[in-house]
Amino acid sequence: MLFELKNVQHTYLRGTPFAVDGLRGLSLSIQSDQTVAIVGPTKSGKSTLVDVLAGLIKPAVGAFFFEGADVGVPSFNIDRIRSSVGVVFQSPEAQIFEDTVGKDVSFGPRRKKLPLTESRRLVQESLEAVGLSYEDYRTRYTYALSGGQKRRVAIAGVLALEPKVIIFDEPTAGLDPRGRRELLDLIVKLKQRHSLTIIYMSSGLDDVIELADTIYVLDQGRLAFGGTPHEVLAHSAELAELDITLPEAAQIALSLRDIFPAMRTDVLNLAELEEEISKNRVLTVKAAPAQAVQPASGE
Amino acid sequence: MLEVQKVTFSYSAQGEQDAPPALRELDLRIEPGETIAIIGHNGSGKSTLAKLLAAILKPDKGTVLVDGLRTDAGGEDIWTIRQRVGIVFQNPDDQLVANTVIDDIAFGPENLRLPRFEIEERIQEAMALLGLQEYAQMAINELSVGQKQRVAIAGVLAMRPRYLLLDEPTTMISGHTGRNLLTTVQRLAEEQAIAVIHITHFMHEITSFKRVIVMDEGRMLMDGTPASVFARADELHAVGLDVPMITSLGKHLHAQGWPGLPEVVLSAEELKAGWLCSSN
Repeated sequence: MLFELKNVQHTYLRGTPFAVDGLRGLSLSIQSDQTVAIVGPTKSGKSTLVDVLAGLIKPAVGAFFFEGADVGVPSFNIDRIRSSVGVVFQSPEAQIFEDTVGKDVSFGPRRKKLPLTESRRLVQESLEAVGLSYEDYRTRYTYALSGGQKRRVAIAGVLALEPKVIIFDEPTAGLDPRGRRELLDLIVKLKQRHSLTIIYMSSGLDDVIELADTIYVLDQGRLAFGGTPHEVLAHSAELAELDITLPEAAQIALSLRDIFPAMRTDVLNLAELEEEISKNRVLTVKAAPAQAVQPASGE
Repeated sequence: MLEVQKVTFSYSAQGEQDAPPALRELDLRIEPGETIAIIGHNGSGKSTLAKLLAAILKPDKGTVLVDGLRTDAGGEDIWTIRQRVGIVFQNPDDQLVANTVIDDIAFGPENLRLPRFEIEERIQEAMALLGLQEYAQMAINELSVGQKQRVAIAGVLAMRPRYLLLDEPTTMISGHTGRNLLTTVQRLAEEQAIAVIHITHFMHEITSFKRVIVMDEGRMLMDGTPASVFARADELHAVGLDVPMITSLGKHLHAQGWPGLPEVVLSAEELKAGWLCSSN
């Protein structure tokens, strides 16, 4: 198991009037080579979980294991996590700080004191991996990039650290439909090519429903429920209570229950929705004679 | 009325050399009380248009008129324009200036140098409209993004604008909270006859607007009802936009003989209505 959390609790500013509970007894595990989505509304503990998984904080209470090793023991070197896990933050501006693209992406390799040729190779490969030409972008000024380009540069900067795991924190916020599609495709491609584990933090299900192997839904610092995308969609009432909107296909399916009571709502996309509608149309047509009698007898 | 006459604008003067024009000879008229959605991919010019209408930017060529006042005339008119055209940005942190909710909402009216009782009246009204009364004394930094966006909107409404520009206001607010906020604002605007110009790239947000404008490369690509816009799905895809899933579904079901469907389906209600009609 790559990560394992058991009853993890973490309170920020503990002992002060500003104390905030980030995590309040969270247990979950994350397997290597999977795409795992962590979904929850604001203040559900997502950001605190990012801090824990990236090795930025050690949880105050509970057990946290990384590749089977107990992070809580004094002999555990937290750098083991930090050198394996890269984070792409929500606003790419937050993690781009050099003036040119080349310098920014090479920051990690330079910090590792890698030989220049090795560092250049990493920068080139990382930029090409996110679809930016090394020759064209190396000397570009970072401030003049578009939002989508900045996101790609931020991802390249993380790839240049050669991580095993990349955490994406709401990476599509503010992107238009095409930009969103391209970024999600890029994540799938990077995962396959670099055999990465992807952890995707999101406030909604739309981005992750077709992307994730496992989805965990958080509520106030605890695990509400988790499972495959189909399993999670079956919790439609609980999702509504947590103010997590259903993806478009599931929403339509739920609404069509008025005419098709047997309609399943755990549909991931348009194709599954249409299949479910066809099944129910056949059912309803067969059941129609019986239905036609009912109103007559009721009146 | 808001009038955009042959407006061209480029960011090259702002230090971005060789920047292509963000708007190209754009013409647009918005009547008082109208509700309009403006959609387009990132970089299509929609936010630039909002900033020109709010007199934050001035056109390179052409004219922007707010109730007949030129936004680039200088002088005292600019204050009238700023009062009539309110703008709500994507990130509420960009426009909240005070420490507490009540102080932030008061900021605009105080700067209009209104009498104390009227400032008080406007604050109370704006807070009531957005359900913020119980938060009046709370610190802004203790609020969630959704609550902050409410405060930002209340602050703009306290200026009693005639035109309300919403520049992707739900980007940072997820789920029902975002949807509810949008519904609230639309209802408020209708009650008070304020024109709403809603800028977004979420297609599901525009089905409730009477008029939709599609922007691409600084030009107006379409101007019509949601149904007339969604009927041109191929053109929308070509400029990086989608139609709502319900519209694609409606098209397929129509082809499979689903009864009583309009040519362009905008809601699941229409599917259900067609089905029930034919089975009774």
